[in-house]
Amino acid sequence: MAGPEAPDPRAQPRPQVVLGAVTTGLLNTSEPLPLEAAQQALALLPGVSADWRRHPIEQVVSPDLFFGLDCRLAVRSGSQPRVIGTARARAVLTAGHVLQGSASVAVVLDASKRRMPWAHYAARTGVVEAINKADPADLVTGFLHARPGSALLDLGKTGSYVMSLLDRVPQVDRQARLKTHSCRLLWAAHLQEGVEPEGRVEAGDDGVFRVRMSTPSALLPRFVEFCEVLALHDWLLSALKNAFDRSARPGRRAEDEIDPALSYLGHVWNPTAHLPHEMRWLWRALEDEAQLTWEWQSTLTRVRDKVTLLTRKAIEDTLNKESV
Amino acid sequence: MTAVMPPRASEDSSRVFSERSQGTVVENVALSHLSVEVGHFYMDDLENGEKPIFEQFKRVKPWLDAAVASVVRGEEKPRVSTCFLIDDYFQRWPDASQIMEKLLRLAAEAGVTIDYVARESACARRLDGFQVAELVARRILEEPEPEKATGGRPPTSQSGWLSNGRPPREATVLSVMESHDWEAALEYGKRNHSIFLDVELWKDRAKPGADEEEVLRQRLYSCPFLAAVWQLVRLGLLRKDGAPALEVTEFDGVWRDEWSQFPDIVRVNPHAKPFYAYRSLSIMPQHFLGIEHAVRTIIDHVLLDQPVVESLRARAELKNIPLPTAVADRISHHFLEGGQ
Repeated sequence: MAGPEAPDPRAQPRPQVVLGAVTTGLLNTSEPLPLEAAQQALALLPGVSADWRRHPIEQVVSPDLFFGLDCRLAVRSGSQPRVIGTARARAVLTAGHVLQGSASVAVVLDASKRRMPWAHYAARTGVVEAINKADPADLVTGFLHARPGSALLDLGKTGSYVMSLLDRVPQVDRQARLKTHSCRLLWAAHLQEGVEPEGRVEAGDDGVFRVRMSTPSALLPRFVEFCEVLALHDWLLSALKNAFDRSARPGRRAEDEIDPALSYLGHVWNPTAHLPHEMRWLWRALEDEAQLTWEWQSTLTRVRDKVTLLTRKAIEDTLNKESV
Repeated sequence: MTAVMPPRASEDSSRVFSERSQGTVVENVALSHLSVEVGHFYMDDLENGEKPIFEQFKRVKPWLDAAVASVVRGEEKPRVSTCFLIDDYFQRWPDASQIMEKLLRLAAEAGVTIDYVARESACARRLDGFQVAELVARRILEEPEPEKATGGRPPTSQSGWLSNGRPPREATVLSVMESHDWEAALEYGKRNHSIFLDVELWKDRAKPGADEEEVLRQRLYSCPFLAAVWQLVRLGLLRKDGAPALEVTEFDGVWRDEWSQFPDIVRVNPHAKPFYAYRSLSIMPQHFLGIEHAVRTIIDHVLLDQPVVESLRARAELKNIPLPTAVADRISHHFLEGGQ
């Protein structure tokens, strides 16, 4: 909450680090959900409606849900700080078919020395307070590169849980025709007021995108949206590639893989559609180096070429049969 | 790759298109500084003689005056409203008009002005059928177990019970001795010693396998759960589509006999200050202490909608009214001594 600069005795200690994970997958439905059905499906709390956009691609965002946390944060050196509070998570549905669970938590350092009564944390939603000392930069690196541990914060699981809520709604028929894996993106922001925002994106050999950023807190929500956009397009790309790879495997009918991939995914790529204006610089820089859009177009071209070749072959086969 | 934000990255001024439909917009409701609940009776008490009712109102009066005199109000003129909750959820008879006549007359005789009357049943389900209690039920977050909650645990209570810690348990130790061991209860947020509390929120009476609608229709909420709903309603924090979950109706001059036709909240004093308030005070007999402890525990575990919380915070700040961050700290009680 950006307030006046004068010290306010009622002011809460500000978070210095915000950690997040975006899990992306296919909504298990045979056809994309129309906007109205998506709005109903993503109204995950009674009394509030989902936010939505119609143009240029339909997108529905659920209200925030909260999850209780009392666990450790990964660090590169020293003892792992214990944090207590709540994580915030929401579901985002794009084009009626691509579902994301986006979870985050803001970390306040040096807040208290022991676990406080729960009312304290319930009044600070989406925030955890660290009991032990920690270095913000270390928390960023620790979170992005931690090996999974049973007592460590696992926001990917939080996002997956939110996505699983959509399996139970009546609008979803649970009959998707395309096989996909879910993708995970991890992000961490070091909040620093008065600095120029700086971002860095890494594609790990484990297939996970990791985004780190230094940013003033006012820009944080835009940064989260950037990460959701990147996660969505990373998933689109790998889902299309996987379908293409499967279509070439022996014993498969290529069209069984390619048809649903084209009809589910072919029209969805548009990274700047919901990209906040304030984050375009980062996307441009990313495109400049990683060229994700080129990669998508070239993959899509290969898929469509394959369809053309298959069609030609089918026609030739038919003609051959007739001439025999 | 690393990228740095170029100067003049903001392109807001050149934008021509915007579209983002916010699903829910929070309504600004008129607020008093304090909402005072002026006494409480079980339905049996209301059905019986007049003297105990009059006596309780008489004992409420000096504390009501003290509350009005000491209200936290920033630099504004004090706005205090009073309310009374009718206990019609667990038992009721079709004599609402007589009870209302008696109640308002005895309160007035004791010098207590009742501004608003609400029904406890409305805290479960509104007159129009909307299940208000589920707004709270679905926002309850169980307290995470120390050092064990990493983020994947489903957030809401499924069991109909809510506790502030871990119950005592008998642990069978599989040793040669086969001895039994007892582990004490633990309050997670304790200071030195635990006060463990386990609150029953509701009882589900639907047959196993019934659909969700049927389960909710048959759900019997506990008294502390409905009282927690009542407190959140008074504090203006419980909303449906941005509007108060229970809204105030003007008294139309006629009391119906059936409680089921009674408005959710009715204004009986035309000069009353707003029903919803930054803070609430409940004045009630001592024997409700246990229930109110449970109410506080429930409220401590409700995660409210941030836009609502934020809208109240911003308004309080604008008017220089101190407002505690923890909702339970906005609620206070005065318990009238027992034995009378």
